[in-house]
Order: sequence, then structure tokens, then C-alpha cells
Amino acid sequence: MEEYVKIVTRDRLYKDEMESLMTKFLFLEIVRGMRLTLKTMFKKPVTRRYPKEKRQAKPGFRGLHALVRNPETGNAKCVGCGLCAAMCPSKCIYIYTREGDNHEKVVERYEIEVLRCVYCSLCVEACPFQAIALTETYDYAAFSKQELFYTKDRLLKNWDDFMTEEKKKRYFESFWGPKTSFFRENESQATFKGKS
Amino acid sequence: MILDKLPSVVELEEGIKVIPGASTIIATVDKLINWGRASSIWPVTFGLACCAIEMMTTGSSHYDLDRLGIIFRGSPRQADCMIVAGTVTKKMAPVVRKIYDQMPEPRYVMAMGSCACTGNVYRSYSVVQGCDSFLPVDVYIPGCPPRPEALLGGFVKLQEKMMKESWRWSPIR
Repeated sequence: MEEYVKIVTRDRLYKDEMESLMTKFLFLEIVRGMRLTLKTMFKKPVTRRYPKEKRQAKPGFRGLHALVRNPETGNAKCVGCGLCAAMCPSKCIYIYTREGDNHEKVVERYEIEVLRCVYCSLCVEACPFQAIALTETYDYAAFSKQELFYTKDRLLKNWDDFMTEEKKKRYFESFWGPKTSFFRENESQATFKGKS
Repeated sequence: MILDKLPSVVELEEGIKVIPGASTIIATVDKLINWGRASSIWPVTFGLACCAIEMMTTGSSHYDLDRLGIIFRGSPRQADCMIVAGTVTKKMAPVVRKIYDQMPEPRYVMAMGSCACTGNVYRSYSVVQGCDSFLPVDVYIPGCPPRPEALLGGFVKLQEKMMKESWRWSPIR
């Protein structure tokens, strides 16, 4: 039987030993491992120092609710149809209407239980008059539940506080609201039309 | 007293005075203890649902709870604050209560997210409609889930509340 003998040259072995000694004495592996850590020592920290600097929410963020104020009349745009309350998955919108003096519909109370909201913006999408909106505000913790039960006045105040004209335009055009293009008739389909 | 008549005593804010030469601060025990408590809130690591993910994010380096002195503790016996983060089911409610009972006084509770506050969309037989039905909640944080900043805002509110307390450290209250 043949026997195989592994032949190792003297030079090669010597070189390997030298290399391992170098890595051991100069802590090369540790330096290699710590490279990333050492690099970040000279970088600006990523921490946002919250109470001092607050991050602006991205456009389209769904935050605190607001009722749209009609600039002509100064009142809420809401007509009290109740579509938002019907769409709401958590049923947190309460609307109470009554008959006015001229037999019109008057929205007496419009309340949102903010603590129950899922922030899905289905109410905004359901509203045919673009009367409700979700603002970019997200930081409004409170000590009691009553503080976060928003009545009509409070919701209108939110609109004044958190919505500017430019923001409103961007929001309703690019994110929400029924647009006229949504209601375009399909010409190939027979549709019911009431008496005109 | 005599200290009020000294001209060098500087009043920093209500109830806190500094003698500049002697490098001494004079304050009530209330102020001192409340300051200590408010700047080292130790919450229990306790998450129930998706809000817990946001709670973890708040602890990460982008938001960094540690710089407010807030360090998560593994045991309720070392903690003094509890963040109820997520849906509290009726099966979980006794466990939450047990953890609360294990915490030493003074203890605070924060309800984080819509589920913990009111029950959210789950108007169901199995979900507790708001954890304030069995816990004394101090701060309600709305959002579904709240952003990390909202949770930090909740902590700032809790600190405000702690600073206003008086005589909570004493056995005679």
C-alpha cells in the first residue's frame, strides 16, 4: 500500500505564523470589527431631541380630526347626512340633527370620540362635501378622557389651528375627497337617472 | 426667615432658591423628590399588541427614551410606570392587573393607543373597553398606533403631573 505523506514547505509555514502573530499583537481583527463603531464617533447623532425639535409629518398623514369651516358663512361645512358616521369602523362619530326654523336640517351636535378612532380616514373619503379632514397633528396626549372627546366647536378650532389654505388644497386634491372625476358616468352602462 | 433677607439669594423658580457663593440650592422636599421621580421614570417592558412595536421604536436611537431618564425594566418590582400598549383582552386583563399590583408605590399608568384607552374597533365580547375600567390611568395617548413622538409627549405630560404632586412620598398623606 502506498502511503501519502503531506509535504509542507518550510517557507509557507513561516509566513502563516508571522501573519497570525501580526494579527494577534496589533489587534487587527478587533480594529476591523470596530471600524463601523469608530466611524460613527465622528458623525452627527441621529437622535431627534423631541420636546425641542418636532418632526413634521409627511404629507397625507392622518392625525387629529378637524371639521372644515366654510369661509363664506363661517360655520361648519357639514350638512349632517351621517355618511361619515355610517362608514366609521369604530363608530366613534356622533351626529345629532334637528329641524331648523325654515325647515332646513341643522347639525346640532357633531362629536368625535378621538380615543376610539382608528385613523383610517374613511370618514374623509365618504364625505360628499369635503367637510371633515384629518390634520397632520399627532402629539396630543391628555390626562382625562373628557379632554379627548371633541365637540363641534373644538373640531372647528382644530381646523383654524392646524390647516392652512395651501395645506388644505394639497390634501383635498392629492389625497382625499370625492373628486368630480370619481363620478364620471360610464357611457356603455345603462344607469338610472331620476326625473330632471 | 433669615435667608429671605439675604440679598445674594437668587430665586430660580417658585420654591427653588440658590445661594451663589455657597453653591447651595434650597428647595422643599416635595420639589426635590418630584424632580428625582420625574427624571427617572422606569416603565415595565410590557407590550400587548402593535403599539408595543412603536414603544420599542421609541426606545431606539432615533427617539431615545434614555435621554429623558426612562429605562425599561424587566421586572414590575423595579418599575414605577406601566405603559399599557395594545388591546387588553378580557383574558389578559387579570394579568395586567397582577403586574400593576406587583409594582411598588408610587406607580403610574399610561394608556397608549386607542385600544388601551377605549377598546377601539373591537366592540366585542372578548375585549376590555378601555383599561381605565380596572387601572387608574394617568395619561391617555391617542393614536392607532401613536407615533413615537406621541408616546414621548405622553411621558412629558406624565413628568408635568409628577412635578405637581405634593406629599406623595410621605406615609401620612
